Amino acid sequence: MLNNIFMGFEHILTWYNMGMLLAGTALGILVGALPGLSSPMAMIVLLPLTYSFAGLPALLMMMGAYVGTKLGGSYSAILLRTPGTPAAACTVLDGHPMALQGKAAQALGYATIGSTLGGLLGWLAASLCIPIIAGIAIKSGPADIALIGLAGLVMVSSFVRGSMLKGLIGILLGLLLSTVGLDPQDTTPRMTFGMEELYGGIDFSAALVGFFGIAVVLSDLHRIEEGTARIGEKVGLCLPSLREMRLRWRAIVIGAFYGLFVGAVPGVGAEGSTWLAYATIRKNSKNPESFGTGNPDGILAPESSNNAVTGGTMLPMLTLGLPGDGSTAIMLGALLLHGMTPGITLVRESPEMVYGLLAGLGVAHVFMFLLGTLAIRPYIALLQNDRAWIFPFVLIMAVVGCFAGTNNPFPVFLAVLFGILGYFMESRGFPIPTVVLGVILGPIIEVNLRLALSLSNDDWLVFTDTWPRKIILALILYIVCKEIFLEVKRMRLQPQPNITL
Amino acid sequence: MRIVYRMFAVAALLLSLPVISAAKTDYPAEAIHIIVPWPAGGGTDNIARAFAASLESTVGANVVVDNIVGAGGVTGTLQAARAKSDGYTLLLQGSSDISTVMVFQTPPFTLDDFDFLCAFYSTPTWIVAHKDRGWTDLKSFLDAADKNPGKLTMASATPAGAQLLMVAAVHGYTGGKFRIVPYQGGGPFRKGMLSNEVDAGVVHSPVMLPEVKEGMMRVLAVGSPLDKINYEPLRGTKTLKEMGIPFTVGITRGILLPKNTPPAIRAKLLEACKKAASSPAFAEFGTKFGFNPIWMEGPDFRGLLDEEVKTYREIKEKFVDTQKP
Repeated sequence: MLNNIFMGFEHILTWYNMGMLLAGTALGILVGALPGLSSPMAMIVLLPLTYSFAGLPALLMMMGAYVGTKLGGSYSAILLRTPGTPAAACTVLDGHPMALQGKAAQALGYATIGSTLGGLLGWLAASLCIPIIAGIAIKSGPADIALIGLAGLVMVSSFVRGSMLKGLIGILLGLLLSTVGLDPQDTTPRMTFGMEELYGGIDFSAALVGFFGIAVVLSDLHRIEEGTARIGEKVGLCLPSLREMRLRWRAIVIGAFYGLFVGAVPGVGAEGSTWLAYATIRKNSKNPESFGTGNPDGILAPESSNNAVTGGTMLPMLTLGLPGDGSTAIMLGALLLHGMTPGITLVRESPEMVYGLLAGLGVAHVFMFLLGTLAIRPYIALLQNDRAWIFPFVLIMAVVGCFAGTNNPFPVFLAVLFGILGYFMESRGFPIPTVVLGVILGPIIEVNLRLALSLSNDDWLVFTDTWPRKIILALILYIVCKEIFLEVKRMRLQPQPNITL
Repeated sequence: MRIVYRMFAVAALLLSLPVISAAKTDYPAEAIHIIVPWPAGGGTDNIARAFAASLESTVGANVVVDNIVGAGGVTGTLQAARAKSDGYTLLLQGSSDISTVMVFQTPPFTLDDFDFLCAFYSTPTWIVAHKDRGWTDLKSFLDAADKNPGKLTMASATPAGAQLLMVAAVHGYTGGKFRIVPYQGGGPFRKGMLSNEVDAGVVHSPVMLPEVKEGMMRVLAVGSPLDKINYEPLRGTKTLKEMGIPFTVGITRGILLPKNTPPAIRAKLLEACKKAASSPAFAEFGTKFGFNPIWMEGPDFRGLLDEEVKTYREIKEKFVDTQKP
C-alpha cells in the first residue's frame, strides 16, 4: 500500500503538477469563500479548461479546487453568517458567535487548523486502508443510510438552542420543503402547484442561499455601518497553539471519523457528516451549553469533518467509479474525458492516476493550510469594510450561485422567497440551521427508506436486520427518550413554562 | 480629466468590436452553445463534451456546453425550443429521454418545436446482474422467479424512464413473478448492483461495462442489438425481440435545433457535425466509452423518435398504468 502511495508522489512531484494543484487549491478557497458558489461549480468551470492538459494535471487541479472549497466555505460562514458552501453550514453555529466576540481571526485559525488536520487524517486513513473502508462503504445498504440520516436529525434537534419545539418545527419545515417535486418512486408530482419548475424539487442551493445568505442580509440590515469582523486589539498569531490543540484533538478525530465514513458511503456527501460530528462532540462535552456561543470545538469538529470527507469520497470514486457527492461525479466525468474508464478496472489500468490523485489529495491539504493561513488577514481586512459595501456583494453572489447551478432563473426567485421566510422565522426565534438540515437530510432519508422497503417487499424488519442497524436504532431511541425525560424534568422544575412563542 | 475621456473612448471602441466583426463574417461568427439538459458528469454530458471538442475544430468556432438542469430534462429542452433559430443554440438530447418525457409528462413543447439535425451515438439498454446471483441469461432469471414468486427483484435505474418501461415490458410480456425496484439514477443504481442488493437491473449501456469485462457482472439481455459495442464477447447478446418480447429500447443521442433554423446554417452545421462524428478524436472517445459512433440524419432521427413515443406509450398504458393503485 505504502509503495503505491510513494509511486503516486513520484508521479505528481513535478513543478507543473504542483503548480496546477496549487492553482486549483487557491481557486477552491476563493470559490468556497464566495457565498452561493460551491465546489461542483468550480469543477464545471475547470472542466473545459482542462481539456488541453494531460489527465493527471487536469484532475489534480480539480482535486485542489475540491479541497480548497471545503476551507473557503468556512470563511464566509464565520464572518458573514452565510456559509460559502453547504458543507460549511454547521460552522456558522459557533464560528459566527466567536467572530462577534472580536475573535474572528482566531475563529478562522481554528477553521484552518481543523480543516487541515481533519483532511490529513482522512487522507491518511483513506490511503492506508483502501480495501477495508471501500468494503464497509459498499456494504452499507439503503436501510443503513436511512437510519444514519434519521440519527442525524434526532441528534441535531436535541441540541438546538432555545426552544426545542421551535427547533422541531424548523426541521419539519425543512423536511416538508424536501418533499416538493416528483415522488422518487412513482414520480407523482408532490406540492408542485402545477409548476413544471418545481418537478425537480427545491434546488438545494436556493434553500441555502435563501435561508442563510438573503435572510442574514435582511436581519443584519440594522447593523449596517459596522464592519463584519470586529477584531480585538491584537490579532497576533491566528492559529491556535500546539498546547491548545493537544486539548482539542478529540474534536478533530471525531470530525475526521464521521467525514471519512460518511464520505465513503456514496450519495450522502459532506453536509450530513458535519452535523453528526458537531452533535457528537457536543454530547460528549463537559459543557454542552457553551456550544453555539463560540466554542472552538464547534468549529474544529465540522471543519475537520468536511475536509476528511474528501478522503472518504476518493475511495468509492477511484475503486468503484461511484460518486460520493456532486464534485466527485464531475471528476468521474473528467476522468472519462481524459481517456480513462472509471470503475473497478481503473486501479489496474491507470495506477498512476489513482495513486497520483491520492497523493495529490494529501499535498492539496498542505497547500490549503499555507494558502489559508496567508488568506486570513487580507480576508478579514476586506470584510472590515462597512456592511453597506459587503451586503450588495453577498446578494450578487447569492443570485449568481443560485442561477449557475441550473442555468435557470427560477431558483433565484425561490431563494428570495426563502430569504423573506427565513428573516421572519429568525426574528421569531426559530433556529434557521434546522430548516436547512431538514432540506439536506430529508431526501437522503426518504429515498433510502423507500428503497430499503422496496427491496424488502415492505418488510419494516429490514431496519433491525443487522447489528449495525440495531445499534443505530437503539441510539436513536436512547436520544429521543433522554430528550423527553429531560424535557419532563425541566417542566417539573419550572411549573410555569416559559411561553415565548 | 482628458485621460478619463480618452479611456472611455477606448472602452467604447473595444466594446463595439464584437458587433462590428459579427456583422461582417459568416456563420459561425461567435461561440456556439450546446444545451445539455442533464447535470455535468453524467453519460449524456460526457458524450456532449467529447462531441463539442470535436465539433469545435470542424465548425470553426468555440463550442460551449451549457448544463441546463431540472424537471427531468424539461427545463433545458424547453429553453432550446424557445431559443433563437440562428444556429448558435443547439440541444443535445437522447431519444429515450425525450420520448419518456412526452409519455410520462405533458411538457410545454412538442417534437414539432425542433428541427432534427442528426444523431451520432446510440447505446442499447440492457439487463445486468451480479455474477454471484448465478443467472446466465434472462430466461434463467425468469425461471428462478417462477420458483420463488415475489422474491426476486429487478431494478430500474430511473423511476420514470426508458429503463422502467423495459422492466415493465419484461414483467408484463413474460408474466414474470419478480418485483420492480426503481432507483434514483445511475449512481445509486450502480451502487445497488455492485453491492449485490438487487437480483438484476436495467440501465442504458455502457453503464457497468467495466464490471462486465471483469466478469463481475453479466448481461442477461439487451433492448436492441449490441453491434456497435467495443467488446467482442457481448456482440451476440440476445435482444428482447429474439426472446419473444416485442419491445426495442435504447438511447440515441443527437443534435436538435430550434424550429425554423435557416437552411444554409443547417447545412453548414450538418456537415460540421458529420465530420466531428467521424473524427479520430471522437472515435477515440467512443473506444473508451464503450461504443463506436453512428451517423443518422435528421429525418431518420425524427422517425426513430416518433416510433419510440408510440411504442413507449403503448407499454406505459399496458403495463405501467395498470400497476398503479
